[in-house]
Amino acid sequence: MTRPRRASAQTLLVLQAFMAHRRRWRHGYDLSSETGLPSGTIYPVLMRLSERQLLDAEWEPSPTPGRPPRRMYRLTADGVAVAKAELAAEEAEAGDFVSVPARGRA
Amino acid sequence: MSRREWALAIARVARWLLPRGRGEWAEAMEAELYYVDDEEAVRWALGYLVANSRERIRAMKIEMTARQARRLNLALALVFAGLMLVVSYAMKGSPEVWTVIGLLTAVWMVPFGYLSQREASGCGRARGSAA
Repeated sequence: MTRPRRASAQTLLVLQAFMAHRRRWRHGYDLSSETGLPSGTIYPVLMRLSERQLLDAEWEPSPTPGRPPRRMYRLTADGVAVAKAELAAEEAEAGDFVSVPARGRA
Repeated sequence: MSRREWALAIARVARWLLPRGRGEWAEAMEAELYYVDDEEAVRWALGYLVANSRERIRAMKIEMTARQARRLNLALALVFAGLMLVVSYAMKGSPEVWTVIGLLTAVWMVPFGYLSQREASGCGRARGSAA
Protein backbone atom coordinates (compact mmCIF):
# COMPACT_ATOMS: atom_id res chain seq x y z
CA MET A 1 0.00 0.00 0.00
CA THR A 2 1.41 3.42 -0.90
CA ARG A 3 0.99 6.42 1.36
CA PRO A 4 -0.21 9.61 -0.34
CA ARG A 5 2.74 11.97 -0.84
CA ARG A 6 2.80 14.72 1.77
CA ALA A 7 3.56 18.35 0.99
CA SER A 8 7.09 19.59 1.69
CA ALA A 9 7.82 22.00 4.55
CA GLN A 10 8.24 24.81 1.98
CA THR A 11 4.89 24.05 0.34
CA LEU A 12 3.24 24.06 3.76
CA LEU A 13 4.71 27.50 4.49
CA VAL A 14 3.35 28.82 1.19
CA LEU A 15 -0.08 27.28 1.80
CA GLN A 16 -0.12 28.78 5.28
CA ALA A 17 0.67 32.23 3.85
CA PHE A 18 -2.18 31.89 1.33
CA MET A 19 -4.59 30.70 4.01
CA ALA A 20 -3.81 33.74 6.19
CA HIS A 21 -5.49 35.95 3.54
CA ARG A 22 -7.54 33.46 1.61
CA ARG A 23 -9.22 35.72 -0.97
CA ARG A 24 -6.32 38.10 -1.52
CA TRP A 25 -4.15 37.96 -4.64
CA ARG A 26 -0.49 37.56 -3.71
CA HIS A 27 2.75 38.30 -5.58
CA GLY A 28 5.86 36.10 -5.49
CA TYR A 29 7.94 38.73 -3.69
CA ASP A 30 5.22 39.33 -1.17
CA LEU A 31 5.05 35.57 -0.42
CA SER A 32 8.82 35.32 -0.29
CA SER A 33 9.01 38.12 2.28
CA GLU A 34 6.23 36.61 4.38
CA THR A 35 7.52 33.03 4.41
CA GLY A 36 11.24 33.85 4.39
CA LEU A 37 11.70 31.46 1.46
CA PRO A 38 14.09 32.59 -1.32
CA SER A 39 12.90 33.22 -4.87
CA GLY A 40 14.51 29.98 -6.05
CA THR A 41 12.22 28.04 -3.72
CA ILE A 42 8.99 30.05 -3.92
CA TYR A 43 8.51 29.87 -7.70
CA PRO A 44 8.94 26.11 -8.11
CA VAL A 45 6.36 25.67 -5.31
CA LEU A 46 3.95 28.14 -7.00
CA MET A 47 4.36 26.42 -10.36
CA ARG A 48 3.69 22.95 -8.95
CA LEU A 49 0.61 24.22 -7.10
CA SER A 50 -0.63 25.92 -10.30
CA GLU A 51 -0.09 22.73 -12.30
CA ARG A 52 -2.23 20.85 -9.78
CA GLN A 53 -4.98 23.50 -10.30
CA LEU A 54 -4.66 24.58 -6.67
CA LEU A 55 -3.85 28.18 -7.57
CA ASP A 56 -5.48 30.77 -9.80
CA ALA A 57 -3.01 33.09 -11.50
CA GLU A 58 -3.53 36.46 -13.18
CA TRP A 59 -1.41 39.25 -14.58
CA GLU A 60 -1.74 42.59 -12.81
CA PRO A 61 -0.92 45.58 -15.01
CA SER A 62 1.62 47.91 -13.47
CA PRO A 63 0.47 51.36 -12.36
CA THR A 64 3.96 52.66 -13.22
CA PRO A 65 4.74 52.99 -16.93
CA GLY A 66 7.79 51.04 -18.07
CA ARG A 67 7.32 48.21 -15.58
CA PRO A 68 6.04 44.82 -16.74
CA PRO A 69 2.79 43.34 -15.38
CA ARG A 70 3.12 41.19 -12.26
CA ARG A 71 1.89 37.65 -11.78
CA MET A 72 -0.57 37.29 -8.90
CA TYR A 73 -1.70 34.05 -7.26
CA ARG A 74 -4.68 32.99 -5.17
CA LEU A 75 -5.92 29.63 -3.89
CA THR A 76 -8.72 27.98 -5.88
CA ALA A 77 -11.58 26.21 -4.05
CA ASP A 78 -9.65 22.94 -4.44
CA GLY A 79 -6.54 24.72 -3.22
CA VAL A 80 -8.30 25.86 -0.07
CA ALA A 81 -9.50 22.30 0.60
CA VAL A 82 -6.04 20.83 0.04
CA ALA A 83 -4.38 23.54 2.14
CA LYS A 84 -6.82 22.90 5.01
CA ALA A 85 -6.20 19.15 4.84
CA GLU A 86 -2.40 19.48 4.60
CA LEU A 87 -2.16 22.01 7.42
CA ALA A 88 -4.50 19.95 9.63
CA ALA A 89 -2.42 16.80 8.96
CA GLU A 90 0.74 18.70 9.79
CA GLU A 91 -0.78 20.00 13.02
CA ALA A 92 -1.93 16.50 13.98
CA GLU A 93 1.54 15.13 13.29
CA ALA A 94 3.14 17.86 15.36
CA GLY A 95 0.65 17.04 18.14
CA ASP A 96 1.62 13.35 18.02
CA PHE A 97 5.28 14.28 18.16
CA VAL A 98 4.74 16.34 21.30
CA SER A 99 2.47 13.76 22.97
CA VAL A 100 4.87 10.79 22.60
CA PRO A 101 7.45 11.92 25.17
CA ALA A 102 4.61 13.14 27.37
CA ARG A 103 3.15 9.61 27.35
CA GLY A 104 6.59 8.16 27.96
CA ARG A 105 6.99 10.21 31.11
CA ALA A 106 3.58 9.24 32.50
CA MET B 1 26.97 48.66 -13.76
CA SER B 2 24.23 49.05 -11.13
CA ARG B 3 22.91 46.19 -8.99
CA ARG B 4 19.71 46.12 -11.01
CA GLU B 5 21.64 45.82 -14.26
CA TRP B 6 23.59 42.94 -12.72
CA ALA B 7 20.35 41.33 -11.68
CA LEU B 8 18.94 41.67 -15.21
CA ALA B 9 22.13 40.18 -16.70
CA ILE B 10 21.89 37.18 -14.34
CA ALA B 11 18.20 36.83 -15.23
CA ARG B 12 19.08 36.63 -18.93
CA VAL B 13 21.50 33.74 -18.24
CA ALA B 14 18.85 32.09 -16.05
CA ARG B 15 16.21 32.34 -18.78
CA TRP B 16 18.57 30.62 -21.20
CA LEU B 17 18.84 27.67 -18.79
CA LEU B 18 15.09 27.23 -18.31
CA PRO B 19 13.57 24.35 -20.29
CA ARG B 20 10.86 25.02 -22.88
CA GLY B 21 7.28 25.20 -21.63
CA ARG B 22 8.23 27.28 -18.60
CA GLY B 23 7.71 30.69 -20.20
CA GLU B 24 5.15 31.78 -17.64
CA TRP B 25 7.52 31.01 -14.78
CA ALA B 26 10.27 33.04 -16.47
CA GLU B 27 8.04 36.03 -17.12
CA ALA B 28 6.65 35.99 -13.57
CA MET B 29 10.07 35.83 -11.92
CA GLU B 30 11.62 38.41 -14.23
CA ALA B 31 8.71 40.80 -13.74
CA GLU B 32 9.23 40.67 -9.96
CA LEU B 33 12.78 41.93 -10.52
CA TYR B 34 11.28 45.33 -11.38
CA TYR B 35 9.42 45.50 -8.06
CA VAL B 36 12.05 44.31 -5.57
CA ASP B 37 14.39 46.96 -4.23
CA ASP B 38 17.92 47.33 -5.56
CA GLU B 39 19.47 45.54 -2.58
CA GLU B 40 17.28 42.49 -3.14
CA ALA B 41 17.43 42.40 -6.94
CA VAL B 42 20.72 40.45 -7.26
CA ARG B 43 19.65 37.93 -4.61
CA TRP B 44 16.31 37.48 -6.39
CA ALA B 45 18.05 36.95 -9.74
CA LEU B 46 20.46 34.40 -8.22
CA GLY B 47 17.48 32.52 -6.79
CA TYR B 48 15.97 32.55 -10.27
CA LEU B 49 19.23 31.13 -11.65
CA VAL B 50 19.30 28.33 -9.05
CA ALA B 51 15.63 27.44 -9.66
CA ASN B 52 16.12 27.33 -13.42
CA SER B 53 19.26 25.19 -13.15
CA ARG B 54 17.37 22.70 -10.98
CA GLU B 55 14.45 22.73 -13.40
CA ARG B 56 16.75 22.14 -16.36
CA ILE B 57 18.35 19.18 -14.58
CA ARG B 58 14.95 17.81 -13.57
CA ALA B 59 13.81 17.96 -17.21
CA MET B 60 16.90 16.08 -18.37
CA LYS B 61 17.00 13.57 -15.52
CA ILE B 62 15.14 10.80 -17.29
CA GLU B 63 17.14 10.47 -20.47
CA MET B 64 20.50 12.00 -19.54
CA THR B 65 23.46 9.68 -20.04
CA ALA B 66 26.85 9.94 -18.32
CA ARG B 67 28.30 11.40 -21.50
CA GLN B 68 25.63 14.11 -21.69
CA ALA B 69 26.18 14.87 -17.98
CA ARG B 70 29.91 15.29 -18.61
CA ARG B 71 29.26 17.61 -21.57
CA LEU B 72 26.74 19.70 -19.64
CA ASN B 73 29.10 19.91 -16.68
CA LEU B 74 31.86 21.17 -18.94
CA ALA B 75 29.52 23.68 -20.62
CA LEU B 76 28.36 24.97 -17.23
CA ALA B 77 31.97 25.23 -16.03
CA LEU B 78 32.75 27.40 -19.07
CA VAL B 79 29.65 29.55 -18.56
CA PHE B 80 30.47 30.14 -14.89
CA ALA B 81 34.17 30.74 -15.60
CA GLY B 82 33.10 33.32 -18.20
CA LEU B 83 30.70 34.95 -15.76
CA MET B 84 33.41 35.13 -13.10
CA LEU B 85 35.83 36.75 -15.54
CA VAL B 86 33.20 39.31 -16.57
CA VAL B 87 32.36 40.01 -12.92
CA SER B 88 35.98 40.43 -11.87
CA TYR B 89 36.66 42.74 -14.82
CA ALA B 90 33.48 44.81 -14.38
CA MET B 91 33.81 45.11 -10.59
CA LYS B 92 37.58 45.67 -10.54
CA GLY B 93 38.54 47.45 -7.33
CA SER B 94 35.16 46.94 -5.68
CA PRO B 95 35.23 45.15 -2.30
CA GLU B 96 32.07 43.25 -3.31
CA VAL B 97 33.74 41.38 -6.16
CA TRP B 98 34.66 38.38 -3.97
CA THR B 99 31.15 38.21 -2.55
CA VAL B 100 29.68 37.99 -6.06
CA ILE B 101 32.29 35.43 -7.15
CA GLY B 102 31.61 33.41 -4.01
CA LEU B 103 27.86 33.49 -4.74
CA LEU B 104 28.46 32.41 -8.35
CA THR B 105 30.63 29.53 -7.14
CA ALA B 106 27.94 28.47 -4.68
CA VAL B 107 25.30 28.54 -7.43
CA TRP B 108 27.58 26.58 -9.75
CA MET B 109 28.05 23.88 -7.11
CA VAL B 110 24.33 22.96 -7.33
CA PRO B 111 24.37 21.55 -10.91
CA PHE B 112 28.03 20.52 -10.60
CA GLY B 113 27.32 18.20 -7.65
CA TYR B 114 24.35 16.62 -9.34
CA LEU B 115 26.01 16.20 -12.74
CA SER B 116 29.19 14.72 -11.24
CA GLN B 117 27.08 12.19 -9.38
CA ARG B 118 25.26 11.43 -12.61
CA GLU B 119 28.55 10.97 -14.47
CA ALA B 120 29.91 8.66 -11.79
CA SER B 121 26.77 6.51 -11.63
CA GLY B 122 26.69 6.29 -15.44
CA CYS B 123 30.34 5.19 -15.56
CA GLY B 124 29.70 2.58 -12.85
CA ARG B 125 26.80 1.18 -14.82
CA ALA B 126 28.83 1.13 -18.03
CA ARG B 127 31.72 -0.69 -16.32
CA GLY B 128 29.25 -3.10 -14.71
CA SER B 129 27.62 -3.96 -18.03
CA ALA B 130 30.99 -4.40 -19.74
CA ALA B 131 32.17 -6.88 -17.11
